[in-house]
Amino acid sequence: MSPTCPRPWCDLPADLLGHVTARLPFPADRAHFRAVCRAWHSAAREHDARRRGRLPWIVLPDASFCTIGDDGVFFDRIPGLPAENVTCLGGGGGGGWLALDCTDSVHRRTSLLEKILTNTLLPTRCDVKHRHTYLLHNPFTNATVPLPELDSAFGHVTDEFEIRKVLMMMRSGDGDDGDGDVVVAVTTNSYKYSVVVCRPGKGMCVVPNLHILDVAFLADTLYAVTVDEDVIAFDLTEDGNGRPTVAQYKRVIRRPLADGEEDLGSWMDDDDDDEGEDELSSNSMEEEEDESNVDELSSNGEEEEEDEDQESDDEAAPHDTTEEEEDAFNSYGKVARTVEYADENKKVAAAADDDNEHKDYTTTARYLVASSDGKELLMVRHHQQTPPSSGAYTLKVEVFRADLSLREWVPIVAGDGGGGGLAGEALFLSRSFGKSTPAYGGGVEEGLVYVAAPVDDVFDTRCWVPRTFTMPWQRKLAAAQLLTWLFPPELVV
Amino acid sequence: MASEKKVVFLRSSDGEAFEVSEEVISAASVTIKGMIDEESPSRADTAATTTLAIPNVTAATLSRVLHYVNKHFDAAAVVGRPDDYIFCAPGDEHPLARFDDDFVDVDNDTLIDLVHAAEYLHIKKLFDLTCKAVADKLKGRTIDQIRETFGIVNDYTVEEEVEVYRENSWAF
Repeated sequence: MSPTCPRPWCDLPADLLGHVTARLPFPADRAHFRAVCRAWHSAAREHDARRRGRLPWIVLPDASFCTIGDDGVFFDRIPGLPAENVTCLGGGGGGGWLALDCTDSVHRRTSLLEKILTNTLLPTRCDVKHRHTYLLHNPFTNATVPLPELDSAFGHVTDEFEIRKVLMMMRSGDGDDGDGDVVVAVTTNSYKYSVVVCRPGKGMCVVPNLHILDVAFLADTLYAVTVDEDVIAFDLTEDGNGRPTVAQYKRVIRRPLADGEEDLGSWMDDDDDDEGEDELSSNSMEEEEDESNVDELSSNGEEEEEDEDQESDDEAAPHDTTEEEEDAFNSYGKVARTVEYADENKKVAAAADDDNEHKDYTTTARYLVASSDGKELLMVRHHQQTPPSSGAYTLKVEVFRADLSLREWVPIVAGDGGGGGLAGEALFLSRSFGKSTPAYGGGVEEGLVYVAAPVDDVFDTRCWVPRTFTMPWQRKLAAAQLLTWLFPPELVV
Repeated sequence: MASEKKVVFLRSSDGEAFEVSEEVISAASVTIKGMIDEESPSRADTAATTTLAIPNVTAATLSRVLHYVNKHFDAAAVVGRPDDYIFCAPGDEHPLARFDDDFVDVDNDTLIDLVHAAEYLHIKKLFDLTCKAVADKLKGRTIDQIRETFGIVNDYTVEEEVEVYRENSWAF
């Protein structure tokens, strides 16, 4: 401490200190670092300026995580998790929250490589159930929100059951418990629980029998995109006890059908890898719903939307646009629908093996995400090509904007308006998490779409070119499917 | 290709010489590999072993670095796994994890010397390890604890310090 001795730690070269801060992923630690002395402050500032706009972390199902980019670093485990046996389900909808599943089932948090190395690469068993306790946890504030409603619904399930996405929405103010009101929406791979909406401690409601690929909150409304790229809006309310209810749900975008494509039941028959008991009811429900939703739309209109004046156009609009829309949707629709939903990727891979034919196959994933200003609903179609003998790569990315008044998807194309592509925002997508952030330079340039797992690509919508992004090598060994993005709180530098 | 192992001598800043296998040190240190490559035309004629001066590294530090290098890079040569991480599944303990932990479990002065040596010698694995060790000493600590640990004097003015705290007040 003597001021006369040389100050080796204060006088470390700035770039060396930069390497140290790269290994301090937590914003609180970084805030402390820069407050230590002037030299460290400027080193931290220099380091962060070089990679302005820190990219979010990637969190893996086993709660290990990494920062990405050229100085990305891998970390074994998020510190301070509330339990040992956690599987990370997803990003919880942003704000630094993670959805966790405390369970002794290691199925989801074990990577394929690990399963191969430990000789435990077995098919999931439908006769063995495990206990699951679900909660939301924020590693930056150490806050934890238990989700007993989910425990009661699917707290004892087999490894085949999968939570696809957990969304958390904070409603400020009007909650009767004062300190913000948490609404959690969950999608699963079970028809029994297509959409589950719960308020922790208050209760939940379940919407079964929908073929939902992804969900997103836009303002207070929950939207879901189906396997047909239809969009369903869920009108969420509460009963007298604060238990959430879905007052109604209705289709607000319907993909136009081509001639001879009406047979919605046939593709559902193909893809019956969910519980058999649900299948019959789901088919009949889905058909019913197809009709009822259309009726609902034309008769009830869209009460909570701003476009009442479009009501009369609702019936005409889909027909008018059918022809040009057909081209846009049908070119990939066929491929997509045979492979999309549930564990479609695995299925296709298995089929290719059975045929003993080594050929490419294409999978299409669809992501639903609210724009960064919270005003628009975006859908991303990610087409992935998997050659027989090399790694999968991004074939194509398409981004659409939902026009809820015209009830259609509008493609976002390069060159329209100012600069083209996605203006002013960047998307971060994975199967369990989607977020749009304002672009602020560095790695988060406008128009970029980051797709993590199964390929790690960043796609530039300004010139429609994919490229890979740099990640620590450990990430490559870890389970790919269920990783999520996590946005640490922003630090002033 | 000569089958017998070539060795080189590294002379520390305080004049002590250390013997190390040329193959091992070349695999480990980009800097020394460069030095050896520069020397090699003249060495081809003479059978004499080379001595390389490492002016920035003391004997105490150099011996530690060579201990690390022999452990990590010699093992790679012997087992024939140039990157011993490849076959290590995530979650598995790395075979040298314990060695690494013990290696950086040293006082701050030794650690900073190792950081500098790793940087100068361009030994990436060691540099990563030592930077991580420094970061681990900072994790979860308060500012005062950090200053005390590293013997850093607060050189902010009161106004500056208030400003630094204010900018990220949520973190304190």
